[in-house]
Formats: sequence, C-alpha cells, structure tokens
Amino acid sequence: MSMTKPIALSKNAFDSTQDEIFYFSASGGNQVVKNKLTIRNNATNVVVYTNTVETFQFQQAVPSNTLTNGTYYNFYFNTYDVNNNESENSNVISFYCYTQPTVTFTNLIEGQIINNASFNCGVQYSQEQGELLDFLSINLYSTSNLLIATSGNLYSSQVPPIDFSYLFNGLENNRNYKIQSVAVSVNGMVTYSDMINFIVLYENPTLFSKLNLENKCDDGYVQVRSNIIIADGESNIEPMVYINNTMADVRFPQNYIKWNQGYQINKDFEVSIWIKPTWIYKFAEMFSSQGNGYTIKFVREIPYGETTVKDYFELSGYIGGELKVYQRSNYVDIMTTNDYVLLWIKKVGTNYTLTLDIITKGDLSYIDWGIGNSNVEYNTLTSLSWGEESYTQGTQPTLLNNDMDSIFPLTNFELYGNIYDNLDITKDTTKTISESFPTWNYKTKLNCDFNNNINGGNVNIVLSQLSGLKIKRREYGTFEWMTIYERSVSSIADLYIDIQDSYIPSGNKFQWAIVPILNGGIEGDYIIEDLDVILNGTFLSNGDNIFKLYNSVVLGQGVQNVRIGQLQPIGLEYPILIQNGKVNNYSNTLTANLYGYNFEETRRIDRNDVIKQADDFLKFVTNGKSFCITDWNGNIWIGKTNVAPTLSYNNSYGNGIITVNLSFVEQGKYNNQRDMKNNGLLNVQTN
Amino acid sequence: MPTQEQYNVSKSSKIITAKIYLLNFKFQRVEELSGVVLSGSTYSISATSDIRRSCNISLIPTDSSFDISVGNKIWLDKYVQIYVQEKNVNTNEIAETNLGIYMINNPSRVYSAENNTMTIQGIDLMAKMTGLRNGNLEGMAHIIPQNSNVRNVIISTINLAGFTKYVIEECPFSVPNDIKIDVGGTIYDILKQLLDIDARYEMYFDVDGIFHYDLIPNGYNEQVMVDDDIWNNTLIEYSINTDFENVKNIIEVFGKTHDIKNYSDATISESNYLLTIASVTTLYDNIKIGFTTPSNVISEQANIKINSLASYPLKNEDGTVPILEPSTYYVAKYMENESYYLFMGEVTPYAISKDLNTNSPFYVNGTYGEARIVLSGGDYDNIYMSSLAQERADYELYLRCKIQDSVTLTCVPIYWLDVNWVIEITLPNKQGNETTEQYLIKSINTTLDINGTQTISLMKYYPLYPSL
Repeated sequence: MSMTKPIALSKNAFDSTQDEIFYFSASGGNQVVKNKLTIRNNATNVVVYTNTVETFQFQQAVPSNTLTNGTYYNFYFNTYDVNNNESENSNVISFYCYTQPTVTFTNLIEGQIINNASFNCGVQYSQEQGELLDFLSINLYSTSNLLIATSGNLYSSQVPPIDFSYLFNGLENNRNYKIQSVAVSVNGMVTYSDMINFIVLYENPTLFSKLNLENKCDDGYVQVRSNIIIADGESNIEPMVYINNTMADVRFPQNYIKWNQGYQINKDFEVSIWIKPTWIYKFAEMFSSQGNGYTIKFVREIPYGETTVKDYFELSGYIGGELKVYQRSNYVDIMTTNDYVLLWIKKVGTNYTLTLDIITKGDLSYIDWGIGNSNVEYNTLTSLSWGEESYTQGTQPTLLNNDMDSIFPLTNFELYGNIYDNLDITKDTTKTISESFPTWNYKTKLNCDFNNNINGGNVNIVLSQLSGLKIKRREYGTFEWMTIYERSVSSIADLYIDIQDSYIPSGNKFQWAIVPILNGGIEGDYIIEDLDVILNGTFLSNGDNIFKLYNSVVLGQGVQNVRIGQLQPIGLEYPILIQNGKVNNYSNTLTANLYGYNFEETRRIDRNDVIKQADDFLKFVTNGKSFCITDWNGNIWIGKTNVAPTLSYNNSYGNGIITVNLSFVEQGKYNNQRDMKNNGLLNVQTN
Repeated sequence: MPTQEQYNVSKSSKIITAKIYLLNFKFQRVEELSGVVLSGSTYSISATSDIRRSCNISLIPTDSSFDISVGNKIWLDKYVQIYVQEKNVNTNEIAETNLGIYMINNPSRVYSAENNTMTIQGIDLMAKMTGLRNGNLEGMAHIIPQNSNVRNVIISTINLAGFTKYVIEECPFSVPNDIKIDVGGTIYDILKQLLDIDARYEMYFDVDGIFHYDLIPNGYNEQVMVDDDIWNNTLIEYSINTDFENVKNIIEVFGKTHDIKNYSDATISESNYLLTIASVTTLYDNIKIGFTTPSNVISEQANIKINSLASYPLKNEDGTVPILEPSTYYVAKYMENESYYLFMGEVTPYAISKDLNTNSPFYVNGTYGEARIVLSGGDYDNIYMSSLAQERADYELYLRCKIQDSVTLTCVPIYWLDVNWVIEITLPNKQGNETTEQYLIKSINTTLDINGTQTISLMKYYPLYPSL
C-alpha cells in the first residue's frame, strides 16, 4: 500500500479576513494521518502559505488574514501516513480572495410597513475589488420561511455596485413577510443579504357589484355578468332642491334622502354630518333591517340638571325593536335655522362619542319691507312663538351602550328634515372631530357633498380609484383563483362585464368572483357567486367560437403521452427508467356528425347550413390555435390539432351529414393560468 | 468529485432536464434557456485532444430573440454553459451537473411546415485561440525567446485571448529555442509549441472555463473514482479490442540534430576540456558549441575552455554533472546569466528505454523477445537534449509496452464522469474469469435523450509501469 494522490476540492472565492477551510478527498492507500496544504500565488507560483496538521480529517483551516483579498491563488494538498510517507501533490485548484460583497436592500428596513399589495424591491450588490456578479435573486418568504415568490436569477454585466429592482405583486394585507437576496459572483462567492421582516398593511377598497351567473348548458358555457353598484342616493323630492348648488334642502320631516345599496357600515364607524338645522325631530336612521339599527334625532328641552332650554341630539339603537343603546350629545344653546352645525358620532365597540358642534351661529338681521330682498324667513326653530312657547323639563337620562354587533353590517342610511351640506361615514375611528370636509379614502363608506347631487359613492371617485376589474374562477373548495378576464376601467361603461366562460368541465361546482383592482394593483374585496356547471353535449371553444357536437360523438383511444426510456444494465434485475424533461400530455381523436347550426331548433337537415358549419369547423381546428374541448362526462382538454382533420359525407343521409374526425394533443390545463395564456385562450397578464 | 446526490442518482431511475445558461465573455450569466432544449443533444469529452469538450444542442426558438443577430441570444459574443439536472424519482433529490462552457458555433436552423428547430455546435473554449473563431495573432511574426519560462509565457499567451483563470504548473524545462510564429499564426500555435516542449503535459479547459496546463494523469497512485458499485447499476454493454501490433518493449528516440557552427575536438587539461574554435572570439548567451570527447573523459565536474576565453563548468539543467562517453560528439550551450555550459547531449539527442522488469510479460529477455520501435521526426524534432529524449523514451515505453486493450463501455449516462479518471471495473464474463481491473477514461460521448446512453473509452492501467 502507498499513499494515493489526494484530490483537492474546488474552492469558491472567499474573504481572506475570515477563517476558511480547504478540503480534499482521499480514498485507497494508507490511512491519512497528516496533511499539508500549500498555497501559491497563482500569477507567480510562489508559495505564500504552507501548513501541516496531524488529523484524520480531510481538511485544513487557513486562519484569517493569512491571504490577501484581490489576489489569485492556487493550492494543493499532500497527505502522509503514520510512517510519514508523503503522497504526490494533489491536483491544483485555483481560487480568488475577495472582500465579502455586500447585498443590501435599498428601500426596505427591518419592520417596515408596506402600504401596498405590490412592492418594487430594490437591492444593491457591491464588492470592494469590483468582482463581477454572476447572478442575484430576491426571495420572498412567509414567516415560517416558506418560499412564496422569487425573482429568479437577475443578471447584470455592469461593474459593481449594481442596482436591481424586482416587483413583487399580490402581497396580502395584514400579513408579515420575510425577504432576502442572494448573490453569486462569477468566482462563486455566495453572499446573502440580511433577512428583512416587513409587514403589509393597506386599505382594502370595497366595491359593490352584482355578479350574475347563468349556466348555458346547451350552449357550452356559463354567462358571467357583472356591474358595479354605486351608492347613489334617492329622495322623495323630485327634482331635488339645492341651495347655492352646495346643499340639499330636505327641510321638512316628511322629506328624505336615503342610500340603500353599494356600501355597508361595519361595527366601528364615524358619522359626520354638516347641517343647517330646520326641524327638531328625528333626522337620521341607519339600519340593517326594520327595527335593527339606530335613530338620531334633535331634542329641545330643559335637560335634567339644567335651568335653561338647550338643544342636543340623541342616538338610539334597537335590536328587534328593543332599545339597546341610548346616548346623548353635548348641550348647546338653542339653534336657529341659520346656524351651521356639525354632528359627529363615533362608535368603537360599545363606546360612543356624540358631539354637536355649532360651527357658525346664524342671525337674521334685517327686514326690507316691500322691496323684496329681505333676508327674513320663517324661522322654524325660533323661540318666539306666535303664541306662548314652553319647554319640557327633561328627566334624568339613562345611557345605554349594549352590544349591537348582531345588527351589523348596516346597509341603509336615511336623512330627513334639514338642509344638508356634507355627509361622511367612515370606518376610520382614529380621527377626531374636524370641521373640514373629509376627502374620499379607502376607509370611506359613504360620502356625499350635496353639490347638486345626492350620490354617496361618487362614480368619479370610484373611477379615479379603479384601475381595472377582474373576473376570477376556481373550483369550489379549492384555494387558488384563476383570472379568466380582466379589463382596465376608465369610464362608467367599463364597469359592466358580460362574458362567456366555456373553459369549465361539466359536473363540477365552481366559484366566480369579481375583483376590483385599484391604482397600485391593490385588489379589493372579492364578490363571489357559486354555480354547479352542467354541459349538455361536447363543445369545442376558443373564446371566439363554440362548436357543439351532439351526435355520434366518439372519443378514440386516449393516450397519456410520457417519454420514458428504458435502459437495462447488465448487473441489474430491473431496468433503469429515464424520463427526459417534463413531457406529459394527453392525445386522442374525436369523431362527430355535423348537422348544421340550426338543426337543434329546426330538427331539419339544411345542407347549406351543414356545409357552412363544416367550413367554419375546419377553419376553427386548422387555424393553428388552441381550443378547449368539454363534454358532459366532465372531460376537459386544452388541445391543438396535431393531424390533418378529415371530413366524410354520410351516404345514409344522401351525403347530407358530414362526419368530422379530429386528432388533438393536449397543450395545457384549463385551470392553469400560464397554460391558458400561452395558448391564447385567456388574454390576461396577471393572476 | 461527484456529490452524494450525483452519485446516488446515477444508480436510479430519474427525470432529466437540461439547463443552458448564456454567458458573456466575462463568464457572467446573461440569460437562461430552459424548456426549449430538445432531447437528442450530445456532448463529448476527449482526453487526447486539446479541444477537449464539444457538444451539439438542438432547441426550439420561441421568439425573435433567438434570431441569429447581434444583441440576441444566439450570437458570436456568447458562451453557453450546460447543466443537466437529474431528479431521483425515488428520493426526489435533484443533482445538477455542470457539463462545461462552450463557444457557440455555426448555428443552423430548420424551418418548415412541420419543423422549427435550431441546432448549435458548442465548441471548446480552446477554439477561441485556434483561429476557428478567434485567436489569430496580429499581422506580424511573434517570437518567444529561448530560455523563457514556459509557465509565464503560457499565462501571457492565454491573456491575449482574454482568459484570466488558469491552473498552470511549472514546466521543468525552459523554452529551448526561439519560438517563431509566422504571420497568420494563432495563439494556439504558440501554446502548442510550448506544450510540445514536454510530452508529459496536457492543456485543456475544464468545465468551469479554467485553463489547465499540467501533467497528464497516468493513474499512478490515483484514487479510483468509480467502481463496481456504479458499474453494476449502469453498465449496458462493453467491447474490448486488443491490439498486438503496437506492443513494443524497446523504444529508441531521436531528437532533432543540432546545427553546429562552432566545433572542435576536445583535449583535456586538468579538469578542462580544451576547445580550439577560430570562429569563437567571445562568449554570448545561448551560443552552441560542438565537441568530440577524447578517448578518455573527465569523471568529475569538468569545465569547458574555448581558446583563451574563460572556462565555465559543464552541467545538466538541474545542476548535476553530466556523464560523458569517450569519443562522442556532444553539444553544449553557454548560459550567460548562470555562467555555465548547459550539457545538451549528443549532437542528435538520443535515448533508449527497455522493459527490464522481469515480472513483465514483455520483458526484453522473456518469451516475447525484443520488439523495437525507433521514433524520430515530427514531434520528436522538438527534443533538443538527450535528457529530454530519455524522458520521452520512458514515456513511450509506458504507452507502448502493454497490451493495447481498448475497452468501450456503454452505460446509463453518468454525467459527472470526466476523462483521465481512474476507474475500477469487473467486466462481466460468463465464460471466463471476471477480474477487477483499473482503467483510465480517455473519452466520453453522451446523448441527452430518454434512450440516450453514454459511451466511455478506456485505456487499461498497468501497475507494472506505474511511474514515468
């Protein structure tokens, strides 16, 4: 036995300011009890370091700062047995020493809050000696370190420092993420950035829409219709009277404005109403159904504990008609019709805050008899009665704040009997009272400025927020949605969607959702409807055309195509199977009779109609595009014609019926977004 | 060295995918081609060629970026690096093997109603220096001065082609004569002449694009890289071709006869060989002197003294004292810097090597008798000293004094194999002895296909002649 020549193992570039372990392998020959590492400058081959260690391990550590960064070296090993017999030099391996590169996020710090569903992540690769980059990737993880998304390899030929950016989409609201970048230099130096934790918190806009699904089982598709519902108000005053084009005049108790669609108010809310009060009466209601909600009304009395007449408003909450909440605002001196007040209610859980704020105190000042420009008007709130006016003495109030959660969400809001300048209902309960009109934001539930309109969900605001709409679909009980339709939105007409979804198998229950996409790519709440899909017949569709085959449809012998090689080594009882690549697809033939487009209705064979249908069919299957085949068995294939189709005339019907024979091969899965896009069956960019 | 995953998957059923990276000339990845590579691509490695690796790749152009034009994927300014990924279907482990970096050459495209494929040749990086694609020297003659350090010259030479990563061992000899590369020559021409200085060395690019100049592995004390644990699971068939014709046990090597303009018969005075040469009035570097020893020779350290010039010692390149034969025509060269005469041997460098191992079946005095071959001319003209001739003769004996068993294995592809590795295999033999023997891998050819196999050419390793 002798010493076999060791094999030095390759060495990626490393930072010489750190300890580094060099490895070799040795098999056969005498037991290795000692090894010597020799490192040379690769340019000159001058030995710069040599060291011998007695160890059974096939490795040796080089202390930090032994070598110099920015230098090209080579090394080899010698091994020794117990009798100090030396092996030949191992193979020689070259390597570089470089200062450890840095990979840093340029727009993200630990714990940062991202206020968006997408984040354009910036990363910089830098290396002191300018070592070139091979590739860099940015990886997004869940908090449990599960890889969620990756940029894949990003390349750059530039000299460091190099900046990269990558857009991550689909970040979920109120969720924590981790992100890390890793760079590999051309000399194999691997550098990780810090793992950064960040939080995604954004406002999830809610739009209201109706989603109607209709199973067109005889036609081979599901009709999907949708229209965004705007929270427009309605009134019994027709036409609505506006004062100075900025206020709605609903000054008598029998008059109202109400909003009952396109929004919902959840458990915590703030209500702000700017009013010119004209009537001491119930002036607002908000409820989910009759007897389940709140009423708000002005009260004028000498409150308990007070000696003079005061005005205030009270909030009463009912569940099933039973009083559960009673709250009062502050007291103010009695109001006049020229007062301008802000009514403010905040509810957080069972805590209520009610404030009546007199913004300006009105005063009638002159009477211009007979000329006509008098500003005197009948003051419905005056304390000067035509007769003797008296005020009741209030009793000691019993404030209630029982749990009202069961009545939410509230979907109706009504105003009565005053002049209204502005209304805002929001789920943002962090605000304090403000006399300024709020602007629409993602937390706004209902907002009306009464500027010649009573729209609570201004379509202009909706349009300014919306960038698009998507229709998504998934099989019932599954998690992943697939986008089947998307459109950008720039006008009110764009909010209406009417599509046919023919890429669905029969006999399965599916869910469709309309999803608002706001500026920045943020997805709003899904509006979801379910449908059991039934298809009566065999259909071929490509988004533009649907052909129904319903007579003598014969599926051939289906083949699941996989490429498996079988190699039989001499020494094995069983063969080794080799599957090259990912080939795995289905192919089959389909034969059917064409009776013409109108046969199903007329039950008569129209030869011209048959020919026309056959021509169209031929064009359909030979245009090089993919199509979807569905049948009533629940089969569905995305395929392409792979053999020239044949047409034959049926003699039994005087050559009036055409039998088509089609051979196809699978091109993808109906529930795979990428497959459907690649096949041109869905023209959507993102999931 | 294979990783454990690579080793394991070699013995199991697997799913194979190929990944191709496009690299720029700085070896940076610029793009990845995945999912477009057709099966049927091939790659090969040959230990006996400086153009060590080559491949053919067929792929499906998926968009206009595959058009052959500047700025696109397939262009003159790209390398391709091929990886094969094997997924072990039993364990789901994935092993990735680097099959090397290649220059893209001669892409061809077939486009018809039923076909749209592109085939590119991947040629070894050496082609960047051979003139096949690049490597032609600027339009003037280049001279590498004699006595230059071979290693330094190689480093400078490959730098001309833009290669900066290398493992270049020291050559025991310096450049013997001026190397002149005429107009139209290539970088490779320089390298080839440098390589020929010592036949025991090889040059090639490894799978990472690193240029190597080092000793050709001969198997002596090399680790066995693959044994029957692999072959039992992968060997499909083998063939052996035995060559009796080329078994030689006496090798005579003749180098290039020196053209001597300065000659004299030598006489001896004390420890000096005295030469009288009218044409030599002064000594200068590399001047060659021819002389014939007298009937007796100096057995100790001798000097040479020409005319009345100073005398200098006569030494071998390694500093040892040469042993001279009487009445023999020798050549020496004056080394000005070191102030000695380099002994270059006979005027025609000559050496003989014989199989004198009594245990050898080809022992010169054994049953086989003498089988002589005389080698001269061609590459042997690069031999300029008798010591070099002796090294070459010993090397040729190593190569020729054995049964020229040429074994070809066909097996399930083992992608991590490389040439010049020692393997150990028990070739199945139902009708005879099954003995475990060692071989050196000389070439590998692999087809990337579901039924693709690997063909491995082996040279038998004879431990009787372990070392050169």
